Amino acid sequence: MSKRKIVVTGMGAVTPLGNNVRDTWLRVTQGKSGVGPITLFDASTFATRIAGEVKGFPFEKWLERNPPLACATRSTFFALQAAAEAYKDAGLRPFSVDSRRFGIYFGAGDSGIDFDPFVKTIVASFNSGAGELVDKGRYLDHASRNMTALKELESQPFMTVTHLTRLFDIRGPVSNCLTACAASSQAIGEAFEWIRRGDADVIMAGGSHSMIYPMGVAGFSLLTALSRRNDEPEKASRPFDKKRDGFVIAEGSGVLILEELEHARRRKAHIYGEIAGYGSTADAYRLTDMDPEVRGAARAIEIAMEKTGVGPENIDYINAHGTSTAVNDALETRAIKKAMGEYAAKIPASSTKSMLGHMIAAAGGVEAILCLLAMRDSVLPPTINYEEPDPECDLDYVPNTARRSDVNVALSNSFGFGGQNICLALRKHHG
Amino acid sequence: MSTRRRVVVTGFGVITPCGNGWESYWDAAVHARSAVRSAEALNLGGFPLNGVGRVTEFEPKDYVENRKSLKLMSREISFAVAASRLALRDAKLSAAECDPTRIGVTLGTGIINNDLDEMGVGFQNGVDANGHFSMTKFGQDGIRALFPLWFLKYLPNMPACHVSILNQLRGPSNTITTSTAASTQAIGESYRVIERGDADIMLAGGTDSKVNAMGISRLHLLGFLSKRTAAPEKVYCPFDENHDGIVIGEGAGILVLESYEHAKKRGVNIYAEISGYGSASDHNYDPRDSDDFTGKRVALRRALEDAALDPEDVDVLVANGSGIPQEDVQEALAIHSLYPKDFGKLRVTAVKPVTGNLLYGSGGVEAVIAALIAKQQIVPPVANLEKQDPLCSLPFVRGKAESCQVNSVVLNTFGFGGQNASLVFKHV
Repeated sequence: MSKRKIVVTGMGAVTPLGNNVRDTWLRVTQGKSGVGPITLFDASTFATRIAGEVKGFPFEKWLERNPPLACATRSTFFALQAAAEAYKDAGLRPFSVDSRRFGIYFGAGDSGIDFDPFVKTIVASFNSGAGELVDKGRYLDHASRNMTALKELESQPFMTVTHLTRLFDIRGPVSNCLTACAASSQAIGEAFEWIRRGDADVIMAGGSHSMIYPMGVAGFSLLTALSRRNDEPEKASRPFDKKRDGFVIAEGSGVLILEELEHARRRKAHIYGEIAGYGSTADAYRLTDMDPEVRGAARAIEIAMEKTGVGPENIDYINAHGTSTAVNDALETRAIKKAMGEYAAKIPASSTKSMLGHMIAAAGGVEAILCLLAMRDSVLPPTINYEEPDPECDLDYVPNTARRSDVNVALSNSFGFGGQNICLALRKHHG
Repeated sequence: MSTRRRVVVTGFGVITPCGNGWESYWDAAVHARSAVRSAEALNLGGFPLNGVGRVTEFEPKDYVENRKSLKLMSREISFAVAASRLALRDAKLSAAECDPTRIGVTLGTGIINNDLDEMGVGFQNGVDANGHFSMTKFGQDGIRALFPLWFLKYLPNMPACHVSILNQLRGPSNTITTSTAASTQAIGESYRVIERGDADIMLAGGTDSKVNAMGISRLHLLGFLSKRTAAPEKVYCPFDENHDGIVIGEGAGILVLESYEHAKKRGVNIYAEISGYGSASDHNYDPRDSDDFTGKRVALRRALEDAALDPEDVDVLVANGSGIPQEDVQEALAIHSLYPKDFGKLRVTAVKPVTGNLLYGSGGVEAVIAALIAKQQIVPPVANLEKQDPLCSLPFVRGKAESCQVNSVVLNTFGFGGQNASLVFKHV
């Protein structure tokens, strides 16, 4: 059976380093950090007070054009901006593509609770005496006065896709997955399979997320997953460095237009590269820890290579998951070694989370874009803040400065909290 | 394409207000016996509910050996874990006899609502001397009063992760969050995973419970809840002239999907084959003010095309039938549009009144009904359908179940956000 080839013809990004692909890539290749103090809420007494926030985002522009977005979440706005960039970049216009063959597979994250009205409601509903802490009848009563119906709706994880399908006239297959930090990589992988099967010719894939809200930061803090290097925000995300102490939460969106090769050729679209393989496995180990035997992570990498028809000797670059937590970075190193054998030490593997922080569900989408740009420009993005080697992390992480190097095949790793492992293989397209 | 692998259903795991296991659910559906009860009878007084489907005889401990992991399970997670155990048992599967890397899981779930008492402790400690919530006090004293692993109970992918961990499933794992179509999509996407050879077995379905203060308050605010004051078991009446919204239920439904070859080799009972799946989006996000519902028709048509069926080949359609009047009408119109002349042999049923609406989890349990219709050759009636809404003129099965020859069954599910999915089940 001749398999259909899938190429990327458009890309869009909103990240802590820029509100488009160009600015993000420029700063990534310069080794800049997008991490700073949290400004979205008063985090002054939180254990972690830093994050990778999106800056100077044109919310007003979107609201003027689209009043129905009045209650939309940050994450949805980021998705719309990145999607608009990708759509335009791909040369798509209304009616330029059969909308029934244009699908969407997204990894949009949830947007937490509409915090202020929620807290107001809870505080007004405490029982004074014994029994349950919160009086549920009173909660309901106060909620109906404090909360806004549309905001409650917008916080649901399907709403981002709802807006995207409406604004970009997407009538093909539709889905949204939410597998924590692996979500948008998984969405790209599944979109790849959809086109390969013939269910669509063009798919908008990627993800968006913002968890920089009080309960998000509190939740990850309690799990001791976040860096507390509050005094040096730009140095906080330091994947594979010995003094790493957790990840830095970030926000944004990365969107790719995936397209069947012949369809792209007919349109004379610019082709960034090919999505060539996708591996997906589960650890089945623990909720919070990766399997120390790294069977699942290594297997995902192997499957992605098998589907691409390449071996470790063909891999020129790995965009590592590299969260900057003690456990992930050591075990990811182990997984790369397990999958790559003797080639592991030779394959450059950098973590762009060192600069962008961890955009959770949106991370994989942006990282796939960075892989394609590395391919285009023959530049490997660095792992910044790499100062002191850790004996458990002994690969070539492209420390601190970008490096010139040709990339024909790249892998992008994304490992989700709870044990979902995704690996995407991207290949240079030779016209 | 000839290399596509066939996918069959070999096990069911069901936790619903009707009971645990698929038998009690199927029996209730066949007899149009609703498990919806009054809120008072379930100690949920104070909530604006005229009826609710509540899982009552359920003990998570019966399904989980590791008692420590129970502390990390919200109600939705424990339903999913229990349903996965029942499904594997029903399919006579033990992880030991299979390659765990070839078994995966995909579930449909949504936001898991916080236990307000558990979360409230944090906010209580964040209240300052004047009785107002203070973010600085919350940062100082509130966060540390929370259960350290609190967060883990509420991440949407956790049901699938628990199912994967407890059953040692190391194949692909995914979580779909497309509102009330999520579980149907989880089944459809799992079907694809096996079809293309990425796994031999998938646990697919979904779980949900909005029978809690946050869930009820949100649905109440959105105006989705039925306000009818009929007897509780009669309140929920999709397609009836009195339909006025949803009655919520809770539970989980998980199917064991298996490649035909694998199931044959194991010599196991096959309930039905999955032969078609389609999804499509409407461009409005509230079914009540939607004038664009083409996604409902397109999803249905795509599923039929995928199964190489014409509309007239369909024997039974299990309708979404949410009971939201506008959505019921749209569904009727969407189905109508595929049958320009007459409905022929088509029979339509809907089963949400039996359990209440399981929302993100609804496709999981309703797929069990669809597969059982193909297996048992019996079509349950639409419960509480007394006087049909004249705008919903479909060939409903009414009053009592019908026995008839069934080759193909279609399941419709529509998401509130405009995501729609349909599946086709075939008699084997």
